[in-house]
Order: sequence, then C-alpha cells, then structure tokens
Amino acid sequence: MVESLARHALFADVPADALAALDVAIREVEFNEGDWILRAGTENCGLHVIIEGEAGVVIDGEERSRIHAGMFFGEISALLAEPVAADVFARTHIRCAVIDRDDLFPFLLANPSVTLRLLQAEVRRLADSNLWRA
Amino acid sequence: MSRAIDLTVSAAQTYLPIAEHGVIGDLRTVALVGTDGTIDWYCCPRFDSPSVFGAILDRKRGGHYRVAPTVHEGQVKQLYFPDTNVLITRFLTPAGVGEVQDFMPVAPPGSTRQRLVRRVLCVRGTMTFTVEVEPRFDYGRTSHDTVIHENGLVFRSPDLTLALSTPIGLQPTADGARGQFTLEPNETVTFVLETVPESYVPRSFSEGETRDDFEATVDFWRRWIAHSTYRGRWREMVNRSALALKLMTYQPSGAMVAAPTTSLPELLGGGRNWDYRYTWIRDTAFSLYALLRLGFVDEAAGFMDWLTDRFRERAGTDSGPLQIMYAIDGSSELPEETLEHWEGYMGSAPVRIGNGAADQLQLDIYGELIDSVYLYNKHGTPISHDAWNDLARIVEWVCENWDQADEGIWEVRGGRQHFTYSRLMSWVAVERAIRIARQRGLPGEVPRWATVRDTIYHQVMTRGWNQDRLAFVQHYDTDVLDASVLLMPLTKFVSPTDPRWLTTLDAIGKELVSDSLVYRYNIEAAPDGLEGAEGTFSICTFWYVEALARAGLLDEARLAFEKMLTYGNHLGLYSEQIGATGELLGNFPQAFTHLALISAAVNLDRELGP
Repeated sequence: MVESLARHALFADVPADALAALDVAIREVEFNEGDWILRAGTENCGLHVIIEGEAGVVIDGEERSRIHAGMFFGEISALLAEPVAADVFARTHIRCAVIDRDDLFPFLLANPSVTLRLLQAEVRRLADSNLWRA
Repeated sequence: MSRAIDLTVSAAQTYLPIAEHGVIGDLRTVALVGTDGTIDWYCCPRFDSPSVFGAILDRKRGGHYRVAPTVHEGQVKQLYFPDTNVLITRFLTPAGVGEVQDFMPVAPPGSTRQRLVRRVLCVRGTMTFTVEVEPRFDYGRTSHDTVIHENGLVFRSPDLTLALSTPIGLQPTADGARGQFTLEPNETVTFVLETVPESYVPRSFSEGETRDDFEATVDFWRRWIAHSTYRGRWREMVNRSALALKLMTYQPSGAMVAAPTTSLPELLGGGRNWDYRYTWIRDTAFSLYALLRLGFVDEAAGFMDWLTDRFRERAGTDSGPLQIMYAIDGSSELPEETLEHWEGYMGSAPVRIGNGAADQLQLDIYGELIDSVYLYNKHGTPISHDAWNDLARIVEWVCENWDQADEGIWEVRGGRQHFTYSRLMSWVAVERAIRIARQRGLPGEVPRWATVRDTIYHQVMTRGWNQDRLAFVQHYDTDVLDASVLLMPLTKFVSPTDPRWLTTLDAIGKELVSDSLVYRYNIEAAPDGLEGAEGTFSICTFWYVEALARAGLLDEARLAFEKMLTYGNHLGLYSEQIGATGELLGNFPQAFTHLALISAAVNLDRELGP
C-alpha cells in the first residue's frame, strides 16, 4: 500500500519513513466491477485516491467522465463538509486509499507537501477547464 | 512509400532491423520510431544528450516507448506525411485499422519547450492498443522516480524531468508505466512527452490543440521543402534526403550531426561502433555544397557561420588550426567512453559515446572547408574581410604542413600514412583559395600558394599514381585502391576523361565495386587497425555514380544510381553502409550518404539532359 502511494503525485514528495507513519490515517478499500463507490448526497465520505483500476462518475444518471489511477475524488465534499455531488462506480476492480474527513485536516496540516500537491492538482483542473473553454 | 511488415516482430522481443525505422525530430534532437510502434532511440534535449530511450542498443536496459495494437496480427505500413518529417505508422489488423502519428513540434528559436507527440487514431473497426513507457535516463545509468498524476505521469531523474500527458490511465511498472485503451472509428488518444520542471503537473491536451500542433508541424516542413529549387529527376528521393539532412541540423548553432545515433554497428557483432552525434568539418562542408545546389541558402549560411566560428577560434591542438569534429555547440572536448552495461545492437559491443577520433590529424578537412567557402562565396554571400584574413592564415598553415602523414578521411586507427586523398584535398584547399583571391581581388601570397599547389599536384601525379595498377592508390607506399580518389574528377583535380583517371575508374570498378555497390577499400589488403569486416559504403557508391556520369558513362551511371535507390529503406532513408544481403548497417540515418545522394542525382540529371 505504502509503495503504491509513493508513486502517486499526492504523496510523491513524502519521505518513505513519513509515508509509513501515515499508514494509520489511511485505510484501503476495494470494490468489484459495477459496485457503487460513492452515492450523491452521502456525507463524510473522505478523500479517495485511486491506486489501481478505473471508475465512472455519474451525474443525473449519465456517466460524465472516467477516472483512473493517479486521480482522486471526494476531496471537495471532505474539505467543504458538504454532501457528495455525484455518483461514482467501479468500472473495473478498483483499489483506493481513503483518508476520512475527520483525519484529513490534521493530515494536510502535518504534511504540507501533500497539501501543495492537492492544491496543484486542483489548480491544474481549473487551468485545464479554462483551456477547454478558450 | 510503404511496405508490409510482420507485426509479430517487436522490439520488446528482439532488435528491429535498422532499416525498419523512421525518424522524427525538432531540429534539436530526433527519435527513431520502429515499424512496430516503438521509439527505441531518443536523446533529450539535444542530439548528443544522454539517451532516455535506448532499446536499439540494449533491448532490456535501454528503455523504450511503445504504442501498438494489443493483438499482434496483421501488417504495418509506415510513411511520412507528404513532404514532411511527420511520421505515420499504420497497423492493419483483422480487428481494424489504426495509426500512430508521431511528430515533434518545432519550437521557435529561443524556446526550450520540447515535445514528442504520439497521436493514436482508429481508422476502421475496433482497435485496442497497448502503451508501454519505460524511460532509462542517462543511458540507463541513472534511476528515476515515476509519479502518477491525473493527466499522466512525471518521470523525475536528477538531471532531467519528463512529463507524459495522456487521458489514458496508466499503471506503474517497476520503472515505467503501461496501459491499454480501445478506440472506435475516428476516436483519438494523444500522448505528449515533454521536458518540464521538476514540480510540473501534467495537463490535458484537447483534440483541437493536438490537431493545431500537427498542422503547424506539417506546415513548417512543407514551407521548408518548398524552398528547394530542384526540378530534376528523382525529386522525391532528393527532397527526402534534404528533409533528412534538415532533421539532423541543430538549429541553435546551425551545425549538422553526421548521424543522430551512436554505435549502430558497421558489422553485426563487430566492434566498429562509433558515436556520430557530432559535427565533422568534412560533412558540414559537403552538406553546404549539397544544400546550395538545392537552393537552401539559409541553411548554407547557417553552416557557413558555424564553420567560420570554428576557424576563427583557432583553438586548435597539435593537429592543426581545426579539429576534425566538434560538438554541435562548437565545443571541442569529445572524450570517448564505453557503456559497458549495454550489450549493443544485436550484441554488437562496445557501445561508445564521445569520439576519440576528434584529435586525429586529417589534412583533407582544409580542402573541404575552403572548397565550401569558395562555393558559398560564389553562390551565397561574398566572404567578409575578417573571414578572409582568418582563412588566409589557414591557407598559410596548409602550405607549411601539407606534406606529412595523417590518419586520412576514413579515420583509420592503424597509424598515419601519406594518403592520396589528403594530398588531393590539400591541393583543393590551396587551389580554391587562389580562385577566391583572384576572383575577388583579395590580398594573399598567391604566387607562393600557386607554387605549393603545383608541388602537391606533381607529387600526387607521381607518388599517388601506381604505374603497375595504372591507378591512383590509397597512399604513397601501397598498391591498394581506395574509393576516396573518386573525388579527383569531382574536385576538378583531374579531367573526368583523363586516361589516367579512366584506368583508375576501371580498376575501382573491378576491385571495389560489387553489383554497383562500392567498398571504400580492401580491408584485407590494407589493414586499418580495426577488427572486423564492413559493408559497402553508400557515399562511395554515390561518388562512383558521379564519376561515371562525368566520364560520360551515362547508362552505367544511371543503372548504378537506380540500383542504389533500391537500398534505401521504405521511407527513402540510408545508413552509412549496406551489408552483403542488402541490410542497412551503421549509424542511421547518415547525413554524408544523403548529401552524396543529392549531389549524384543533381549531377547525373544534368548530364542526362532534359
């Protein structure tokens, strides 16, 4: 698990020993193909980081995008303490690392490099969406 | 041009033939793209930088970047988008037809942005592709981190960071990543490999953006080749050679590499493996001639500036005012080392980087240099006062130093000799300097130069001539023939119909020519200090064609030229040599061969008339 996370952009700058220490705050979840991972309206879902496999994001009954290893989801709900806005299902067998909302704030405060990477990823999403509109 | 290729032959299992590659580039570096969809040679950011993908020199440890159909059935065709260096590899399988479009956008001068774009397209049916990206930085000597992002991957090594932007989710492997994706007709997926800062976060590329890059790259190459003034026979091959030469030009300095690869062997399993990612004075001088003949005055000006900088530096060693070769940025240190951890192309060790021949004495380079100045002065821009003063000093040096043994054009490592070719080109150096001085009324010791010129002439005619062979020979103490003397009539040292020349041509035809292909010399008769045999030298074959044409043997010349055209690969690209069974050998593609092709085509076309 720690080895898989070390290659993920969010955790790429965390030293190996610090990453091992994070193990306590992170739990691993697995879903089979077709399973719901998140349902719209759910609260307290936590930050999900895809380690392996592919998921689909469904809004209003329609699959809007696919997400895969290297991506994460649930962060907006966790950071803003709002219900999840979309359904997410497993397109393949999928493994995720989850940091629950209650653990997320202290986790980010204790690991500024992860916070920076999270911020970079959010800003990249914003920049890309601006690029597409241009 | 295209050719059917067995898809089951993959670089992952074996080495592709050298000929089974196309080349893309951005005037700073190139990538070799195999017909199996594998990039197995890519040095970044410059031609002479350490490799990132080097599987062509070690399939296990070299690193590769492959995009190909998952099912290995069917055929492959590879072609250039017409009049460009945008490469298309087409896979025709039972499930459908798909293609990979490979190109490198040419960044404006001053920009450091460098991208290698692979756009995958489904043409028909349903195509499932596998992508494998396995970089090995610094010739596989440096480890790296692989970081997975939303829009791709970042490979971080101590000296270089590359981002691979893609919408496809890739799974990490031990040192890289792989993935699979399926496309329906007209669907595309783009992979952009880019040099980036360490903290970079890959972004998504829209289809429109990729299409714009594709069109801009196509437009760049088409606008460039449109400057060619050549309208004669074999125009497609001549244009392809010009495009290949341009690919090997390093835009920031105007220098041209001899070839963009290192250590592709002259003989499979042999040790004649050299690093050609440098600029030889000789090659650059000949390139200038070839490109001037096609009307590429800007490129010729770039080469001339580069050459002028070199002879103005006068930072020479004991071997004269110029080195025989330089790095593309003009630096003169090219220490040679061996990559012991690589097995070499099909086991052809050693793999060398750097080039130990840089310090050799090769007196011919002054002739080639001054001949190119003469041509540029005549067809391009008249020589400046300062450049002439520097050149006159070189002529003085040649007048004092021409009469000594050297390593010669073939860079033999078997000891110095009095090579006929080196004397010939020393004659050219002085003779052309006299012509420039007289035509432009420039100051110089012309009477003294003329005396030296005539002394060299008489020496070649007596000591370079072997009365028993009735031929000009390799050096003064041998009866061995050498294809380099084919330049005697081309440089106007001797009339192409002089009886001495015709018997020489006849002797070369009998001894060095095999089915129109020309060996540079008989290695058994003239040991060159290197182990192993070699193939025929493509540049010598083109010189032979020119010599035949100028001697009026037009039918022979034309047949030899047409035969030689069949030895290019499916894209019209040549390496340095051709093996006994027609395979391409040596570094690839080789500039010297392509410029000789241009020269032979232009001159043969002129001799044949309208």
